[in-house]
Amino acid sequence: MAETSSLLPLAERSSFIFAGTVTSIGPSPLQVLAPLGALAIVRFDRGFLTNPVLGDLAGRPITVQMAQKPTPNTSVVDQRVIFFTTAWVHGQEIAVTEIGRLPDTKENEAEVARIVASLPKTHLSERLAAAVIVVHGTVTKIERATEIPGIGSEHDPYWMRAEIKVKELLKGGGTTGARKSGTVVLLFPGSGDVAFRNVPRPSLKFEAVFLLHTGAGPLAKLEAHIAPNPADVQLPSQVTAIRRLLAAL
Amino acid sequence: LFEEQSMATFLVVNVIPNSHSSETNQDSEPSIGVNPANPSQLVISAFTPPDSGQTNGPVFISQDSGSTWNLAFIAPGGESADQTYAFGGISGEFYGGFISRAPLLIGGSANINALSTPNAFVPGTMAILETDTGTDQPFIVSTTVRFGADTGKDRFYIGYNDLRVSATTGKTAAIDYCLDATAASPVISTVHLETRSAASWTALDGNPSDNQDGPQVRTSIHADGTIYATFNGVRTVDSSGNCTSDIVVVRDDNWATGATPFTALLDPNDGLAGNRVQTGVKLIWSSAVPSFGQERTFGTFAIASHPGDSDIVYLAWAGITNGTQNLHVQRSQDRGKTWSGDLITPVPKGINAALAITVTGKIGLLYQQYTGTAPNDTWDTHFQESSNGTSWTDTIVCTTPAETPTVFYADPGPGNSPYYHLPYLGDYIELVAVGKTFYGTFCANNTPDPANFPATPAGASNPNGAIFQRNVTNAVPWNLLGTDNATVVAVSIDPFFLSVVDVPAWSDFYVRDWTLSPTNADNGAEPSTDNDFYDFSDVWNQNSSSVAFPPNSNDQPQSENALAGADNYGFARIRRNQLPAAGSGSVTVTAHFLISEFGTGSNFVDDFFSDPSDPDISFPGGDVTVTFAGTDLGPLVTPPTTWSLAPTTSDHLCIAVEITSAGDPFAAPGLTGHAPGQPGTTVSVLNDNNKAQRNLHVTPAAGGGTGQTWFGVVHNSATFNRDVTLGIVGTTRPPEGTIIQVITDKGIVSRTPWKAWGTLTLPAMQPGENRWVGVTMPKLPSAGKSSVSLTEMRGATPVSGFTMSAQISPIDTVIGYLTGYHTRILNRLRLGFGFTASSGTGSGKGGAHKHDEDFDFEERVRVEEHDLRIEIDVRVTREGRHHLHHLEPPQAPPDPANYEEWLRGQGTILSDALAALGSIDPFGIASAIDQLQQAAAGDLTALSSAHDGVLERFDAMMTLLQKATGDRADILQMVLWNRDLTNSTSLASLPSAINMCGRLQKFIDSVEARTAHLSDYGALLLQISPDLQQVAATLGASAALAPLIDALSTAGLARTQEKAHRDLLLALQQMV
Repeated sequence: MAETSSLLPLAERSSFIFAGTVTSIGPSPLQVLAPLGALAIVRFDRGFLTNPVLGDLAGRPITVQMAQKPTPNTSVVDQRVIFFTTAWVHGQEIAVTEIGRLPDTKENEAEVARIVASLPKTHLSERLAAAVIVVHGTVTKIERATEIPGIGSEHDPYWMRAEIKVKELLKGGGTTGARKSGTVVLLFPGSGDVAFRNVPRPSLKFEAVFLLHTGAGPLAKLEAHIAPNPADVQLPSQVTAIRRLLAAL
Repeated sequence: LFEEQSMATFLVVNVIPNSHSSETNQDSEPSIGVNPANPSQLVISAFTPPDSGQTNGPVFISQDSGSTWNLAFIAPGGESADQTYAFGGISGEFYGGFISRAPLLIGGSANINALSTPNAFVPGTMAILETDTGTDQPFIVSTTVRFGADTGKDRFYIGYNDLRVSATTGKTAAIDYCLDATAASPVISTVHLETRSAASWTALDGNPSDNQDGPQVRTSIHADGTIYATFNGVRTVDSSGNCTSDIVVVRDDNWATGATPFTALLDPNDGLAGNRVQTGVKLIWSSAVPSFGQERTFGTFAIASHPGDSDIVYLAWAGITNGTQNLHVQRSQDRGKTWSGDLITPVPKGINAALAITVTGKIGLLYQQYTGTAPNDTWDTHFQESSNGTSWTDTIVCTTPAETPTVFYADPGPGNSPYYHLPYLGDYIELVAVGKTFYGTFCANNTPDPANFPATPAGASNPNGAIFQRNVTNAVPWNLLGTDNATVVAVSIDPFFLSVVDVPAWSDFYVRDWTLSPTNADNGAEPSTDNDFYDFSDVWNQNSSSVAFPPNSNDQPQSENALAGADNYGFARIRRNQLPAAGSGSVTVTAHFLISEFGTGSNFVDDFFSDPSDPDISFPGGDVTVTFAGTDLGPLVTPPTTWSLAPTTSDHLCIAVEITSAGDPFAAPGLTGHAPGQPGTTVSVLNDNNKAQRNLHVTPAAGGGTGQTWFGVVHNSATFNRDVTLGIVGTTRPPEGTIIQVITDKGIVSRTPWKAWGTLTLPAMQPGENRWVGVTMPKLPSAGKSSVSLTEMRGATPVSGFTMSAQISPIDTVIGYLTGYHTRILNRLRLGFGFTASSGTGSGKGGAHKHDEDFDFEERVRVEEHDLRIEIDVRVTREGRHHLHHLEPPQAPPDPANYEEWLRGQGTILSDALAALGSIDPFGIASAIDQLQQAAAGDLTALSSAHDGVLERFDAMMTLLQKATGDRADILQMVLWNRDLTNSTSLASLPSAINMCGRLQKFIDSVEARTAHLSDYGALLLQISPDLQQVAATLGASAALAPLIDALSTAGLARTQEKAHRDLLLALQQMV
C-alpha cells in the first residue's frame, strides 16, 4: 500500500487514478480478458486522473488487475479504495493495472486530488529545469531552415526556423545570441507527419513563453533551439507563475 | 481480364471501442496480425495515442475472430509512428516492428525496435529485442520453422529503409531478421538488399550525402524457408521530387541463413542480385504535401507467395503513367525469374496495395483508390479476389468522402507551405490470409452511413453496414455519438477490420490431423500446427468390428492395420468450433474415404479406380454421412464405410478422408488420384482441415527383437523428373544403429544411418516412378514403441510423411499377428502370382489352408503374328465380392512351441515362393529366409523378428512386381503429365495438341469432380491417339512413338493401359 510521501511519483507513473468500491473479485465484464486470478471489479466513484475521452465513468465497473492476489484475510470486497493504475484494456468497459492504492478516506482523497492537480505544474517544472533558455517573446519571422539538410524520409521534419523577439529572458541565454541580439531562434518541424503530431508550431506574431532546449543530431551544432513538448510553449499569462517555478528550481 | 463471382461473406468492423466513443484521433496507417495457430486472436495497430501519462502505446485486440475489439496498452514507448505486427507461425508469440518517435522530435533519426511478447492478451509490455537503428517503415512478417534442428523456432523479417547508410553506401533497402526470436537473447542481423547504386537525393533535400532507396521494403515469408522481398530502388531524384525507380524483387531460399542472404534471384540483364521487375518507373516524392485528395503518395508495394507453392509469387506496385499513379499486379510462377503482364486492369490513383493468398490459393488484393474531384471526391477501399490470378471479382468495401475530416491545420504565413497532418489514411494498409480466410485492415472516414459500406448491406444486426462499437446513430442523420450516447462527435479517421470469409466458423467442419491428449489437439488451424498428420489423426480403420472403438485415454482414435482379403471399416471423427445462430437447421457432412500405398507420394484411390475385373481395393460401402444439429459442435463419429481389400493386395496402406458439407467443401483438387504434397498447388492435408490421413501399418514386435525391417513406397507424384527429398523426423529417436535404405528393382541403392533431422534424397525420379525406403532397427527396446518417421519435403516444409513403427507386444500377440500376416502373404502369392497347389499353402501346424472350392482362375492369353501382339488377361471370379472370402480369419496363435515348429517347416515353402517370383531379389528375401532358419532354437524373439523380416520383404517384392505391370492409382497422374507435356513450348500451339489438351483436361476435371468412370480412361486413350500420332509426326518421331501409341488401344485392363500410357510419356518427354 502506497505511503502518502510516495504519492507524487506514483501519480506520475499513473494514467488512471480513481476512487471506487470493490464489488467483487473474479471474472471481468470485459470478455476479452483472460480469467486471471487477481481481478477486482470496482465501481467507479470518483476520478482524479482519467482520459477525458472516456467520458463520465460514474458507476461503471472498472476491472482492476491487482498488484497482489487477495487472500481471504485481505479481502477488499465492499471496501472503498483509491487506485493508482495504468491503462490495460479499453473496450466496452475499462480495465486497468494497479500500481498502488490508498484507503479511500476524505483525507486521502484530498491529498490525491492535490497531487494530481499539481502534476501539470510538476511537469512544467521539469521542462523548465531541462530548458537551456526560457524567454517570453513574440515570433517575428518564420522561414524554412535550409541550413539543416533533409533526410529523404516521410519523417523528415522539414525544420522551420522561427525568430523570436525576446521581451524577457527568464532563464539562461548567457552564451547565446539571446542576450546580445534580443532574439532567439526556435526550430520546429514543418512536417505534419505523424511523428510530429503534437509538436508546437508557432505562427507569425505569436506571443508566448518559450522553453527552449538543445536539439540532437544536426541541430546540436546550431545556435538555435527546439521546443518539442506541448508544455514548452506557454501562454503569456503564465509568465508570473513560470518566474515563480524558475525561482523554486 | 475477366470477372468472377465471389461467394465470400464480408465483415467490416470499426475497431474503436465503445469507451472511446468521444475520440476524434486520426487513427491512420493500420497493420494487422493474425495468430495462425488460433485465428480468433487478432491485433490491429494504428496511429492511436495512449492516454496521458501512459508509457505504453495501444493496439487493438480481438479474441473472437474480429467481431469485437478492445484497446490494449502493450507497445513500449508510448505514441508510435510507423508500426507493423505479426504472430509467430504456431507459437502464439507476437512480434512487432516499431518506430519510436521520440528521437525524431529532437532532431535525431527514427529508430526501429523489434518487439515481442509471448501473449498479447495479458497485461504487460512487449520486450524490445533490438538496439535502435535509424530506419523507416518497418514491415514485419513471421513464422515458425516446421522441420529440422530448428523446428519450433520463430523467425521474423522486418523490411525497412535503413537510413544509417544513406551517407555511405546509399543502399538503404534492408531487412532485420531473427532466426530464433524466442531465444533468451535473440540475435538480430541486418542485410542490405540493394546491389545497385541508389539515387542521390541531394537535389531535393540539400543533403550532400543523402543516397537512398525508397521507404518501402515489403516481405513475404513462406513456410518452406523462401523469403521474398520487394523494394523501391530509386535511381534518380530531381529538385521537384520527380523520381525514377526500379521495382526490385529479391529472394532467399533458406530463411536467410546463408552467407549471402537474399541473393538467390538474379536480374537477367545485369546479373546482379535482385530482379528488376520494372525499371524507369516514375514517381513523385512529396511527403509533406498531399497529392491525392489530402493524402501523400509515393508508389505502393506488396508481395505474397502461394502457401502451397513458393514458386508462385504475386507483386503489386504503382507508377506514374499518363499523368497519374496507377496500381499494377503481376505474377511470377518461377520463383521471381519471369513475370506476367498486368493481371488486373491498372487502377488509377490506387494506393496502399496489400496482397495475401489463402491455403487454397485464392489471391486477395486490398487497396484504396482516390476517385472524383473535390468536393465530391471519395476514398474507395477495394477488395479484389481471384482463384487463378486472371479472373477477379472486385468488391468496394468502403467508400467515404475524401474532404472530411480535413487534415490542414495551420498556415505558417507567406512564403511557407501550410501544415497538414499526414499521412491521411496511412502509407500502408495490410491484408493477411490464414487458412481459407482473408483478414485485413484499412482506415477511412468514420461516418456511420451504411451507404459507405456497400460490401456489407445494412440489416437488423448492422444498421450502419459496418459494425460500429462506438456510439452511433442507426438512422438518418448518420452521426457519431460521444460516450454519453447523445453528443454528436466530429468525423475522424478510424481503423476498420475486414474479414472475407468463405467458410464461417460455424460452417467449418474439420477432421483433426493430430491429437496428443484431451487438451492438446488440432483445433482446425490451416495449416495444422503439428506436421505429423499421419499417426494420430481422426480418420482410422478397423477390421474386427463395424462399431467404432472408443478413443484411448489420450482421446486418440484406436486404429487397426488393414487386412487383405477382408472387409475393412473406415471411420472419421468430425467437429466444428462454433455453433450457428440459434434456430439454425441441421447440416449433413459427407465423408469420402480413400486409400493409398504405405509411404509417401502414392496417389490415393477411391471407388473410381475400382476394377471388378482386376480387383485390389473397392469401396462397396460408399460415402457415409453424419448430421450436425444446430446445437452440435461434435465430435461426431461417422458410420463405418466398408472398404474391401483383395487378397492379392498389400495391406500396408494409408487411409484418408475428405469431408464435405454444403457450406464447406474440401479444397479442390481432392485426394482422388492425387497425393498429399504433390508438386504444384494441390492443397495438402496439412493445409485443408477437410482432409485427414493416417498410416495403417504398425507392427507388433517382441521386445529386444533384432533386425526389424519395414518398407514404404516413395512415389514421384509430380509430372516431371525430380529429386524427392525425405526428411528424417528427429523428435523421436529410434534404436542406435538404425539404417535407412533406398531400394529399387536393382536392389539397395543407398544406405544412410538414421540422423535426427537429416535428409535423404532420391535423385532423378521419373513421374510415376516408385522406390522403396527400408528402415532397419538393429535391436528393439524392451517396451513401448519404436518408430522412424520420414517426411516428404518441399524446401523446408514437410508436405507428407509416414511412420514405421514397432509396438512392443507380448509374444503371443506377435505370433498371432505374424501367423495371420503369413497366411495373407501366401494367399497373395497364390492368387496374385500363381504360387499354388504343391507348395503354396502351409503344411505345418497352424498354417494356412487351401480353399480349392473358392479358387479363382486367371490366365494370360497371348497371340502374336508379325507386328501384331494381343494379350488378354482372363480372370474368372466366383459370385460375391472380389476375393473377399478366400481366407478364413487368421487362426488363433499357436503356443510358442508349436509356432517354432510350424515356422521352421515354412522355410522350403518360402524359398519356393521366392523362386516363383522371378530371378530378382532386391529386398533380400533369400537372406532373410536364411536368417530365419539360423535363428537359435527356442529364441522366439529372434524367430519372430526374422519371420516378420521375411514377410515384409515378400510384401514389398510383390508390390514392386505388381506395380511394374501398371498402377490404376496413377491414371490421373499420367493424364496430368500428358497434359503438361502437351502444353510444353514445342507443342502447345499445335492444333492436335490443343485438341488433345481439351480432352485431357475434361477427363481431369471429371475425375476430380468424381463424375468419371474408369472406362472413360480407355476411351480417352483411344480419343487422343490420333492427336498423339500428329504430335509424333510433328516431332519427327512417328517411328519411335507409333508402337507406343498403338499400345494404348491394345493394353486391355485399366492397369495395363496406365502402364502403356506411362511408357509412351516416358518416351515423349525425351522429345519435347
